[in-house]
Amino acid sequence: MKNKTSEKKNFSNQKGFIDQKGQAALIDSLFFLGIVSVICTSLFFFTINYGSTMERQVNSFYSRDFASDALKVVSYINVMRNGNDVFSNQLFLEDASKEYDYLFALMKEDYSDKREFSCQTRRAIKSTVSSVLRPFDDSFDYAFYVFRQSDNKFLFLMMAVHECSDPQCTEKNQNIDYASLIERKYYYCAPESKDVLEKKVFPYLGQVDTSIGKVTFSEPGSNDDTKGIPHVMGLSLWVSKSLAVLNNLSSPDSEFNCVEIPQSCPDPVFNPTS
Amino acid sequence: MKFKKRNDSKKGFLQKGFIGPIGDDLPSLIPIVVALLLFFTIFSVTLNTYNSKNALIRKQTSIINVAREMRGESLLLDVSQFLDRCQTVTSRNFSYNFMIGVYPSNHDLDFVVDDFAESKVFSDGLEPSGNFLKQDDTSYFCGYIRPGSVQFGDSSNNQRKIAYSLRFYPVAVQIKASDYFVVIPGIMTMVVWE
Repeated sequence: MKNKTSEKKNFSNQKGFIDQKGQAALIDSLFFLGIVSVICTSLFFFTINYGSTMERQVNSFYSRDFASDALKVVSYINVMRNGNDVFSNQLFLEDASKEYDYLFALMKEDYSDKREFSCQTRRAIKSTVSSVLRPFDDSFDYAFYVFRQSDNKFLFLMMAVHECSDPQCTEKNQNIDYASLIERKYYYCAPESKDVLEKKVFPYLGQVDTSIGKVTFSEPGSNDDTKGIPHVMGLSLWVSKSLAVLNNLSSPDSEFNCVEIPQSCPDPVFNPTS
Repeated sequence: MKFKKRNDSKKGFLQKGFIGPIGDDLPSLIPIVVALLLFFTIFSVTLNTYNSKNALIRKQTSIINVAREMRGESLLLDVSQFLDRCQTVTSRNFSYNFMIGVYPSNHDLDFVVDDFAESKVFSDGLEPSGNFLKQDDTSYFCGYIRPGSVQFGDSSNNQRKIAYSLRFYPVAVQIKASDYFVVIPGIMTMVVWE
């Protein structure tokens, strides 16, 4: 008798609990809402990030193409042998006695003569590279270099940077037009180590677009260009940035050993070879 | 033993916490509906963004390919080579309009947009500005315009603004100087608009 009573009581309790069916469905729907919220959040982050990497890569194709094309153009074009001017039709028509040649011819002649580039050739390289990169002259700095693969030493390194040599640049005064004080400077550098760019400069500049090509120079006295010394020619571009090592390139303490490329060169001395 | 008498009259609708077999599930519909609305909204936004970004990347890649094809190895031997490449490129269909012109490297680049605004592209011909590099009175100029698009320099509706992108590429151009051929640095500029 007692057992039947307790069973009835249990049954009525269970029935009350069973009657509360709505509670389970509500909790289930809240679980469903929670799961969908997680899915939607991950979809949202996917939406924000999708394509940004690809877009950055596509944009970088342009700057890489630019560096690569600039290097090709430098190797194709003719320059005036005095190094003072980039070739122009007008200039040539004004004075047809002015000599012009391929830039590479000047470089190879100098190397086979003295294993270094003359003032005229350095100026010719500077004129050529600066005219090719003129569209971005205001915002980009660059390094043009040739180094020997055998001993990893620079044959030629030109640094083109924006500098402010005016003392006003160090003052913080909103009345000063700093943009007008900044000028482009070209340096010819002779660092001891080839790694000076890769270790002291490039890691601190953000994106650096580099294009590299190979060129062969014949040793002095050799007539066979096919047995020349392989060199690597490179052009590296970066958005102009103030960096301590780049602000003091001509300083005696600088590892770069730079001197500013002169505005003009003395006339070359003719040395007849016997 | 006493039993508490249950009030059997509070059955069905009046029973506390009990609406009905369907009614009890009605409150749970609210979070389900909210969840479904949220999901489909985010899904459609994601799909739209996915499609538009893919279209943008495809367009950028196509522009880069057109520029590469026109440049070749960054050496233009003569204007007929340039125009041949132009004909090959413009025979395809693009979802955008473009003009390409070549300048000598010493040209002032501050007025490039004005030069392109002055130039016209038609389905059967081109009218370039006089400031582009020329050989034998033929300009290094190429253009493509979709049917129904407005010209880049169209100023008939002063309220209309045209979004464009402008790119520069270095090229070497072979020109004739007196009796000789020389190679000079040039700048190929490309303007793209829709």
